[in-house]
Amino acid sequence: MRGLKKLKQINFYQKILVLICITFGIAIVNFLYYNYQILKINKNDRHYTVNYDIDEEIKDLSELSINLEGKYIKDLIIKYNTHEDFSIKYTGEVSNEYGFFKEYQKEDKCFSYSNVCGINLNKKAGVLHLQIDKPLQSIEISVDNRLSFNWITFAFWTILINLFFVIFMFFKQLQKKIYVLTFLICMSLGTIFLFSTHNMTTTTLDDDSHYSMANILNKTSKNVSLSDYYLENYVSLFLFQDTKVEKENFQTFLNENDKNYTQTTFKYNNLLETNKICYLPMALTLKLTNLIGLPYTICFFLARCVQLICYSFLMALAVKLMPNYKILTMVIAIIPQSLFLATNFSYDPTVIACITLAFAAFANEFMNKKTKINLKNILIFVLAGLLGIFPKAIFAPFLLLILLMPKEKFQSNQQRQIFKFIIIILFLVTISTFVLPILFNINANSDIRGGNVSVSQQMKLIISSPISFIKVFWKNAVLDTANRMFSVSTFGLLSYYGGMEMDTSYYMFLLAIILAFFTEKNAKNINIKDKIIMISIYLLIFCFIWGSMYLAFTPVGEAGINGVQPRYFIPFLLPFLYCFQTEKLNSKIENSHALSITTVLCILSFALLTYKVIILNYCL
Amino acid sequence: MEIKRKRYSLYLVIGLLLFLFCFLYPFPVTIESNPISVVAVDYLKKDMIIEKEFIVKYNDLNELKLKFATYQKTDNKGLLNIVIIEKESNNKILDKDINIQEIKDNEYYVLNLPHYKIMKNKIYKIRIKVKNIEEESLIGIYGYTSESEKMFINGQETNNNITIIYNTKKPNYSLLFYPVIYYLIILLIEVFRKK
Repeated sequence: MRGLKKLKQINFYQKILVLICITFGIAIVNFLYYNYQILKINKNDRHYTVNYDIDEEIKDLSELSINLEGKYIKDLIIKYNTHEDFSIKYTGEVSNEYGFFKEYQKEDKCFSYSNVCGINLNKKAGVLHLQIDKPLQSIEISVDNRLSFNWITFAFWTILINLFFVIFMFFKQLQKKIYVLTFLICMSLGTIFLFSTHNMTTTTLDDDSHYSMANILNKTSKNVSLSDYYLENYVSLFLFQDTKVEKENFQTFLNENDKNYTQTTFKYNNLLETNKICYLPMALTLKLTNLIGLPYTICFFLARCVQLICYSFLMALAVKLMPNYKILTMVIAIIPQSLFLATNFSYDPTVIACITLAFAAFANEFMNKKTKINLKNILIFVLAGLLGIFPKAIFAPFLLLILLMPKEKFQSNQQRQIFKFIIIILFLVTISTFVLPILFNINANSDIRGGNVSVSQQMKLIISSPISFIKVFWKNAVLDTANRMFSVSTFGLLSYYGGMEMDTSYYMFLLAIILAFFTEKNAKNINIKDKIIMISIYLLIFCFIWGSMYLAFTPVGEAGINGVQPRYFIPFLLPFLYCFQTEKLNSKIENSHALSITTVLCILSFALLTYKVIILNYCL
Repeated sequence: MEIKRKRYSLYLVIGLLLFLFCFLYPFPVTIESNPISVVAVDYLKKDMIIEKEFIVKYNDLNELKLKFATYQKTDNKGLLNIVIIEKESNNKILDKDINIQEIKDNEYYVLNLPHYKIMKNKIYKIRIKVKNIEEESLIGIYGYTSESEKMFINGQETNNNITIIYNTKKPNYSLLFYPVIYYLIILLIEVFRKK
């Protein structure tokens, strides 16, 4: 403990030296941990071809057996030549952590774009049977036990441990500037996602179509490249990229085929449309990096980085603007699901960050009743609010929040009336971007992914049986909203990688939110009338969320509401909790303690989730 | 007072320019496209004539696109003639010779149309004639198969159809939200500007 305390007293350059030493230490431990089994192996056994036996009755390459003689196998690599994708089913015996052999089963998919696929075992293996579902002309099986450096786990541990040390060593400074701490944590944890997730689409919900939008500036009306085609159409390739060689092969394939064209038809999209304007930062990054001539996958990666930087910056700004509950705002900024989406192609991070920022500007003005309205805050509220609402116009009632501004904040009654008029017109304009397309073409907003959906049929059903609709709405929307706001899928759903469970990481994050809320020293009373209006606005938005998904995503006649994702509620977590503040909450925990405990809880929760869901399953 | 007037004029001019841009600027839009599933015409031969009728559902069409295959061969030589005729009046909308060297593998060839000559719901005929082609040249046209739509190759009916993509350029009126929002924000700024 004394040593740790001394760390706080050393000068800036010594602190940097400590961080460099930690990084080197992690590099050595990381190398030894992931290679100690290989270091024990004879050098000749690190990379060799395996002979296979063909089933005597079938006599082709559809059923093979290989004897791995109980040796340690890191990666089993299959080389092939094919024009169509195929699957391999592996069955046999593989040891567990103690070396006891157990039954093993795995199904892998191999793709025509590459001539290599494989499985990552990291264990001893005996006899394995391979069932191949398509005829192959030739196949070569090899074991890859070569020494390697696991950059992903290195990045994971380095960023995490250094982050703890940075927060510890610079805590005094960061405590005064929580917005800097927020930016630092968002960027650090986001970088872990950038490195540990696959640099491709279909890892996140609908990111293929989001990428297609962001990539529109790079396309000409003459063609669609093969690389674009793979990233915009192929589903969940990453699930089958178990080995390093497969990941590298796919990245090389994308880089080599960005000038080779496909049969896909090109469709124009206009990024200036209100619901697509949120793609502009990513689209401009993709265009600029492409113009410079960077490789395709680097352009893709940099666009993800820009999305993370924008998210972190807006959230840090929101923390800076908040008059109180800065720690709670920081906790909400580092919700793992938001950070995960911020490192991939999605518009949700823009919605979450902009609405949180707009709310911070509102709170800054609303809670400061003594001074007149500050134009800067109002402009931030309107501009950030509009940017957050444009992709999801059903959030438009959020703009009405600013009408709660008390009379005393205005210089004259006339100023107040004009202000109200402007906000109401802005609200009508934004809501019309959602309503007008429905009026002109009632089924335009139907989402065919929902199945047998039809907005017009659903409307007819509601009109013909209103009581049944109320029952369905009550059962789903009313009883399930609180669950959607604070569920494991709200905090920790990492799309197709998997998600948080009701385990330590969830409880840690929930505890961080509770602590951040109850330990606030500057909580103030909000009068009951304002509270009711605020909550009514949020409830109206929640009804819009459920209602829109009922109309557009739920098959006609189904007694449920499909497609309502918990992430839709994340932008309203802070505004909703904020309504319940009261001066009666007189916590004895000091602000610095509350900040350190919540920060540690959030980072640990993130680390547990990421290690369990991504690192263990996809990065070893 | 003078400064105020200048400021207001500037706001007004910027807003008007924004309005004009949103109201008039024609953005490219894909209005209809046939599917692409097969190579509808395998190898073009000298004097081959491909004819297909099509109906356009929009007035303001400005380009048609055809997709060619060269089977990765880059030194094809020859000349194609593409004619688009309005069936009823037999008027020629387009008559264009294409140097086969300009055609690239898997790329769309864009045919720019004289604006507003194509009318909604009228029947048009596209005729592709191979005026000349070297024997070693490999050129195909992408398309799809359909029972209901017919195409003619050298006068013989076939289920294979070439893919035609119709594009246009027209203003996107949904962008008119921006001048509205611009003026509202300017009004907001002026209302709260410190006197």
